[in-house]
Amino acid sequence: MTQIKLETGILKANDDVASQLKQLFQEKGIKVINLISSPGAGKTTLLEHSIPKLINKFRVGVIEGDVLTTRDADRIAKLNIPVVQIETKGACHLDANMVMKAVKQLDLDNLDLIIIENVGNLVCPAVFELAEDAKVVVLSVAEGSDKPAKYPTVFTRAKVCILNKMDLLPYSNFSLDDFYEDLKRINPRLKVFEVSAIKDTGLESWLEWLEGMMVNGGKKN
Amino acid sequence: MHELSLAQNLLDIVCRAAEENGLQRITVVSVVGGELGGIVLDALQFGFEVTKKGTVAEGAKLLYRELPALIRCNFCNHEFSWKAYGYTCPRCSHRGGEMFQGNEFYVEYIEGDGKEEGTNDTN
Repeated sequence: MTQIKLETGILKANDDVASQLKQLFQEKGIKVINLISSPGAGKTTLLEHSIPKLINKFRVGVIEGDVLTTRDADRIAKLNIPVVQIETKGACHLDANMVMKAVKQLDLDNLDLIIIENVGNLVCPAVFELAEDAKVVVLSVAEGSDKPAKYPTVFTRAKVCILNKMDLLPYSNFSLDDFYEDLKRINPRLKVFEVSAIKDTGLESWLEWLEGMMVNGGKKN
Repeated sequence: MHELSLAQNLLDIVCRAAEENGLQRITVVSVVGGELGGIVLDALQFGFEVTKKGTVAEGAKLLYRELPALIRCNFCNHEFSWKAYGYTCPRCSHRGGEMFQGNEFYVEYIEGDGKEEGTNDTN
């Protein structure tokens, strides 16, 4: 019997492509956000209301991930910015290979920021690196305040949490106290922005954070 | 959800390692996963059983070792369980250390038989 030490990462195939992407984004001076949430938390609506406030400062492109349809890409295309739709045809997350293919359809010399809207899923997308500068997790109050405790991986790896649909807070049993108490334990560094994307409220602080991230190493600094 | 494709990755890694090291069959595949690695062991186990058929790993047993998520206090350097204490150090009450373990997912080692060894192990 022979034992062979390996210590090889099982996600190495993904991580290798993510490293190539990282290098490409660095060469082009592009910052990348990986937007993650359950289906229906409001990722696309957040983008529809955030991007118009960004495009006078930065050149923004979007990669949309969905299991099927180009509906989200159609919504984003109305903002007159470059958008590429990835249909995963069943896969529960985007991987670096899919992003590499999508990136080839974008004019990287004319972009400052790429927002990757991951497949709606609070679990699997957390594990696959897409060469992003930050994971941003969107949680809507309708989903309940217990979600960070139940699905901690994405909340431990994200830099920002958008707490969306705050306009529905009075009609839900979401407890802000419980939510912040859990986050203190799970990831005290997570920045939380309370917004209602559809009502266009609370977006300023989130956009300020995003601009801060852009200035720290973006093209226009 | 995606453990079948992870099992395929795993199999590619161990089969390549077997070939490079002259193993004719793999008997053990040892995988290490962090508490927050997002791996569903049952699904990985199932995926491995399905994908290993017809490969040098066909008879291999998948061993899995989970590493707890651990935080190192950035004030007093104490190391403690994230699950039990979150980011608040139980020794000095400082909040905000670094997670230094808990997101792993890798093949630690494989065991198998080379050409000269045959299949009748004496131990």
